[in-house]
Amino acid sequence: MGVWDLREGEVRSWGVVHVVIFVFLTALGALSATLSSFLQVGYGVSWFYLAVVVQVVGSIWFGLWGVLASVFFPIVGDLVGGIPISISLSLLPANLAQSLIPAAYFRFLKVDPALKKLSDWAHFTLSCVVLNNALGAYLGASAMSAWGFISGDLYFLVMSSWFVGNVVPILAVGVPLLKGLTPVITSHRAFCKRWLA
Amino acid sequence: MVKGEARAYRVRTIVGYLDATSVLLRLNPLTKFSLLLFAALYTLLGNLLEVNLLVASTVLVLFKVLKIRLSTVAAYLRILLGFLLIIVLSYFLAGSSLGRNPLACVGFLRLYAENLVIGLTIYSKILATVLTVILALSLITVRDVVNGLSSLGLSLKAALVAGLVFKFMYYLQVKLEEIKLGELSRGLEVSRGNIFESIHLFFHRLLPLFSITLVKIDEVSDVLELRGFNLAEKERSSLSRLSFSFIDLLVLFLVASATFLITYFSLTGVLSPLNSPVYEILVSYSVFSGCPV
Repeated sequence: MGVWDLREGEVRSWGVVHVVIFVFLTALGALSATLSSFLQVGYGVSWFYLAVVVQVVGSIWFGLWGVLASVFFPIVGDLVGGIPISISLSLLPANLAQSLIPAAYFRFLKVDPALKKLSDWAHFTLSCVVLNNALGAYLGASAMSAWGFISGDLYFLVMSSWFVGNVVPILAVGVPLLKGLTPVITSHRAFCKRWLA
Repeated sequence: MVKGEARAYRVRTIVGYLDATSVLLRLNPLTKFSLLLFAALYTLLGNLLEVNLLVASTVLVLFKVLKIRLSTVAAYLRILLGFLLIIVLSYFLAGSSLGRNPLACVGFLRLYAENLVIGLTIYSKILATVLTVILALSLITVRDVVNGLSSLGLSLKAALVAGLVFKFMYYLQVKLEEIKLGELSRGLEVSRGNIFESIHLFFHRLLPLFSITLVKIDEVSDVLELRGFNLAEKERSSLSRLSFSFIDLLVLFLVASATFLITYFSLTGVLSPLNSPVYEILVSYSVFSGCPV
């Protein structure tokens, strides 16, 4: 039986603990976003964007609560970082893509988050490293270009630095977290086998 | 009789501490939020270099007059410098698509008057908005977040959740500092590490933060459930509500007037980067720059 399968007679419903999960993931993500600012190359673009780990790992473990937190925490983190909400909202599609793709992929294909088999690694690489970050980088760089923060000459450079800045933390921090903490999280009452619970 | 100055009580706001006796602390949350809305709008409309610099310097004067510590602004220097880097790269060095009037040319690198003015305008706009947001956040407490959002029509439970986010962000910040102190007490020379060691260190910080979070989640959700925090419940009472005072009305009038003027001049095309007197000076200089057009 995989981590996503319901036991016989098991009924899952969301509760206060999931709201608290959302609160803490948002706070943790916002804090991670401010930690990433030491290698900042612009609004929300860092060479080492640690907060993407919370987006990927949080949405895989906690489903829609993780996705919601991933969308909400950049707004909180940006606000605390002095960035107006209008800019944070324009980066919302990028943040949504970065968290929704891994959450949906792992649930639909029932990939084990503990990454035990080679196929799990292949699925992880595709959904959590390549697809989500490529789409996120494209949407993020496009939003920055639309605001006029980057000229057309730097579009590709910003897009690629967004991509690399997301991939490195996922591989360096996200993978050990998934491998190390998944057994603990899956036995926790907040783990979401479905989207909400 | 003992002579001495009574120690002022300070209240924690989202980005620091504010004197508890400050009249600004008693402003209605909606008045404080109006500054954030102004900053959001200004990001869209503040397109004249001189006006941006005027707004930025006005906010800095307000910091001084209102006795808000300028050290709060210093904490944001890193992000402002990071953005300066990308603006310099984007408009001064790599930007070529906008340029018509060359100011200087070194090999393949060219600096155009248009790029310089647009780059400076965007950067000064960022400076003005970031300073306005910091000013607003220096006045907003967690209770303001809850009261303000519920006054705006958000359900009190949703407002409480939003308030809790800021509360726990501070909690996790404190925990992170404890982890760093733990590293130091065990002889880890954090400041001497290279970039790879710093990245490696992030894992050693994020792992305990996740673990602390998990434990705290259990505690908080248990407490909320024990105290009858019922998500299905429709009405909850609020601890406190603030009414609008004269100062609220004055601040709101000033913010509304500034918003109206900026919107009006933006729609009539006055607030445009190339309307800047600086641009006209640079264009007249470009004739003598010696660069081929």
